[in-house]
Amino acid sequence: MEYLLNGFASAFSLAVFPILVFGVLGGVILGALPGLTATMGVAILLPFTFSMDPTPALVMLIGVYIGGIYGGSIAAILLKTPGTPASAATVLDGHSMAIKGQAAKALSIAAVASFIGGLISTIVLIAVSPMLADFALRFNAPEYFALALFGLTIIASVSAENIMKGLLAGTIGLLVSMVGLDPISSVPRFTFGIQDLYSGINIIPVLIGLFAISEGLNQLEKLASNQKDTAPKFDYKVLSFSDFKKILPTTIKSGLIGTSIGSVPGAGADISAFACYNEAKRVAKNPEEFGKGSMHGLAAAEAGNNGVTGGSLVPLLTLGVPGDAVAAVLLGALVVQGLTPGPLLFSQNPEIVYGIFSSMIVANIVMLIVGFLGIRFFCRIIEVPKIIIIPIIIFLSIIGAYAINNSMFDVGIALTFGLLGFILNKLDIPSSPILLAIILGPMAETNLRKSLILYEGSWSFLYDRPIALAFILFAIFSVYSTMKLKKKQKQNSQKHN
Amino acid sequence: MINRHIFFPSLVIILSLLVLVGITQFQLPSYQAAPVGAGFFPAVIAIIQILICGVLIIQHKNKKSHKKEEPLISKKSIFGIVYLIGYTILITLIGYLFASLISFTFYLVYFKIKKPLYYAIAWIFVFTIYYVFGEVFYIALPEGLLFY
Amino acid sequence: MKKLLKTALISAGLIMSASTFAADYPTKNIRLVVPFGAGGGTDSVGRTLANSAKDILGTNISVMNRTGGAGAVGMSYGANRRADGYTLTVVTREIASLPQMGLMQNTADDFKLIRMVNLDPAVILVPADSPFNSVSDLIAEAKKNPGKIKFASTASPNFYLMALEKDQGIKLNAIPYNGSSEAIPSVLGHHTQVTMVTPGEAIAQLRSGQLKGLGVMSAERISYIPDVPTLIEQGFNVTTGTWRGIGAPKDTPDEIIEILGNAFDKAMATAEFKEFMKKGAMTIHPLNAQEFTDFVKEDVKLLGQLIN
Repeated sequence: MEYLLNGFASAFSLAVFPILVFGVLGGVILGALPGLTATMGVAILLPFTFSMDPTPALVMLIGVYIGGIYGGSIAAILLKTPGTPASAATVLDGHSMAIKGQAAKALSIAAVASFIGGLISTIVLIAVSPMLADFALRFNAPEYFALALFGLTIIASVSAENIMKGLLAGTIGLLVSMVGLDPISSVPRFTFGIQDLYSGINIIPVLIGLFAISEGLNQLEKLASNQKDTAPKFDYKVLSFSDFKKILPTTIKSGLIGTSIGSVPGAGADISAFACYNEAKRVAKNPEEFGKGSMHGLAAAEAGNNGVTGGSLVPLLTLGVPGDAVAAVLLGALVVQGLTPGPLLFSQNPEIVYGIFSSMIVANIVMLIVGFLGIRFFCRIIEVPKIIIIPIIIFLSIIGAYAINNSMFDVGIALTFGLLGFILNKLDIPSSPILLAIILGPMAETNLRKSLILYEGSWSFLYDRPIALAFILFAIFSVYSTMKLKKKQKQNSQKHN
Repeated sequence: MINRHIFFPSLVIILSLLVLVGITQFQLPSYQAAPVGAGFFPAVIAIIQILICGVLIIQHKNKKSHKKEEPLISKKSIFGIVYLIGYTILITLIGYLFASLISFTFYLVYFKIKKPLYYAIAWIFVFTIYYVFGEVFYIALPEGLLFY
Repeated sequence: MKKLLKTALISAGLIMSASTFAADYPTKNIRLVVPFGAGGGTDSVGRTLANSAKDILGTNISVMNRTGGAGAVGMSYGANRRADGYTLTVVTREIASLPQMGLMQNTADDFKLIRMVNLDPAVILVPADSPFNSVSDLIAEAKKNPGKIKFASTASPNFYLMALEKDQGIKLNAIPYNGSSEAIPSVLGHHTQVTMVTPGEAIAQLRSGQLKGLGVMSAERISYIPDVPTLIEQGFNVTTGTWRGIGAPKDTPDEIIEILGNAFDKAMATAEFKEFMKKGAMTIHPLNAQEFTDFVKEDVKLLGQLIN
């Protein structure tokens, strides 16, 4: 406790606080630009930290991380162009709210939900990280396979009208994820001898294509058709206290789910956001509102993706292994500072550990403040005439697709998926299942095959490992409840006719 | 013109069949003999995909009300597609800065924009990105093939 | 008008590139291609070295990550740049293995190798409570039950393991994980029994005592883990590991290679770089251009025997 208070003192000290604010602000800006992810922001700033003291160095990187995940949602809500895969679930309801004129309300809900998600996750990290570490260590190939299987069932619930269309998008995504060297046997699959394809299709250009570029094409078509822009209507009304009370349970629950998902190495904010969305929809009183501007859907996705921030530090701080790409960079930062992540860090350098904890709490508070102060400013983006904002989105998308790997090949990928997304949009086929499938497909496939090698060809891991079994049951339950939901919706719509 | 709700699933079925053919061409793994090989998953998914497309086609045929459909890619959307591809090719040739300046200006001229302010915004945007990426973040921007 | 502008731009570009001669090298920023992702081991070594070398060369060195195909994409990219000394590449052991596996078109011969930077041996690791206490224990068990010991492999195929398997005529059940950050938790969680990584990748777990080092596969003990005996000490004559170095496209003029070589020698001797490598438990192994080229030739031969 004493360490934590000291940590707060140092987080607010003159040497550290400005760096923290700079980090959060920088993260929000980077996250909001399509293609520039929180991971990239942290990696770019890493060399600058080499010459800094350990605490400010880590505080800055954590600030960028937390700010970056929130920043991704701003563009997702206002422009339908998620800055990071983690905010793809935010588009579903956040952008619908913005269309309805509730942009300010959506942004405020996103800020509040992100804050609560991040805060819960930090508190859990402080309180029970050793226990979570034990949980994380129980995860191996069979558990990852079961988790991915459960994740794939979410496709059914994010496909709006027609489940078959959602499934088609899912299989397209799964096939795309198979491109590249087979991770188990190193056999090239669908690479046509192109070296750039050997490591598979990068998720970021796909995200940029499916969401940002396809939206750009869509808008360009409207402009070319001389469709008059209906002047965007919106008010600056943020969420009311009664709204807050309504979304609070969803938010807390999503923060907890996000923390658990984040604590498992290899499962990150993208999976978490969709899983929380799915869960919120499952228990909702009026699930048909989801995808059409539901506050609960937005809050769940946002609390879910920020809930990962604390969780992903669990394996890093307790085991010395990074839980996701950002944690991997943080590991590098710790090592460069001469610190040894892992259980020893708590006993040898408690001031560092608690410095990280307290700066995470402060970073979340700063993010909330930046989020609220920024609402008026961000909303202005909607007022910028379409004619000028569309090419800006397109240019940023193409630069983002390039910058992620300095590769024009990735720009080609983004264009291809932009066209695909544009066509799918016209066919009412949802795009987000493609993204989910590309994230989860390789996880499901490689871990199933790894499990089979681990069990020497036996399939018994599906039922003799409790965590794996639990996830498989979740998956079955998830499919079952989605089916029930769709049936109910059908009956309702027939009644109305 | 074939209906788009028939055309697209049919196209996907053809692509899935090509995928199945492609799987038979996979090399044999030389390092890891696994119970489930490299071709298993893609094959299963391709078959499921064909089935889904079949269902979609049948669903559509059974639908009573057939609204009049526009073509999948309208003439209006061709500008956007050509513009994007053109911009990408231009970047490949002459690099980010000049390609963006030319493309943005061309875009504004194409839509017959007369306000000088818009042109100013466009150029300031391009230069700002150039400066922020290159000088602040040290992120490389695309360079042209013609001079590097 | 546009055509005119373009012609003007192109000719300006030609003049700019024609004015770079070896004599006054370097006159502009140098780019260092890192064939792996930002934040990883190869990236941080590349960035730190670039940072140390930039003052010595008097020009900025910007790092460019170009990932894909286990390093093949970035290294091929670097090999096919203009040979003017302004694009350098961090070459890794994959340049010796991937071409022989048919997964990369370019080979080490497409580079003029400048300096080797680090050479890190593999360490055989088991959980702290493992029944194996020496390499002999492990090999005896592997001989008793062939293909039964579960090995958490950081890559597929795993050349560290293959070197030991070939030498001892044993076979382990290698489960291909995605790098050390997946393989180490798998051993910590007792899902697998043994793994092999470089000291830097497991230094946290070794220091905290969660993992036990059975043997290090180098000629001599490593200063960061002085208690772990070498395999040679234990009677097994196997050494293997991984290395990194700097290369330039093969037609780069020798004068430029020399300027760069001297600069990297100085960079590797800076306190800053040494400190960084020490903290990351990596071993600096500076070889000059000729030694490095011979070393890579030897490694290509060695890996060739394992692959075929």
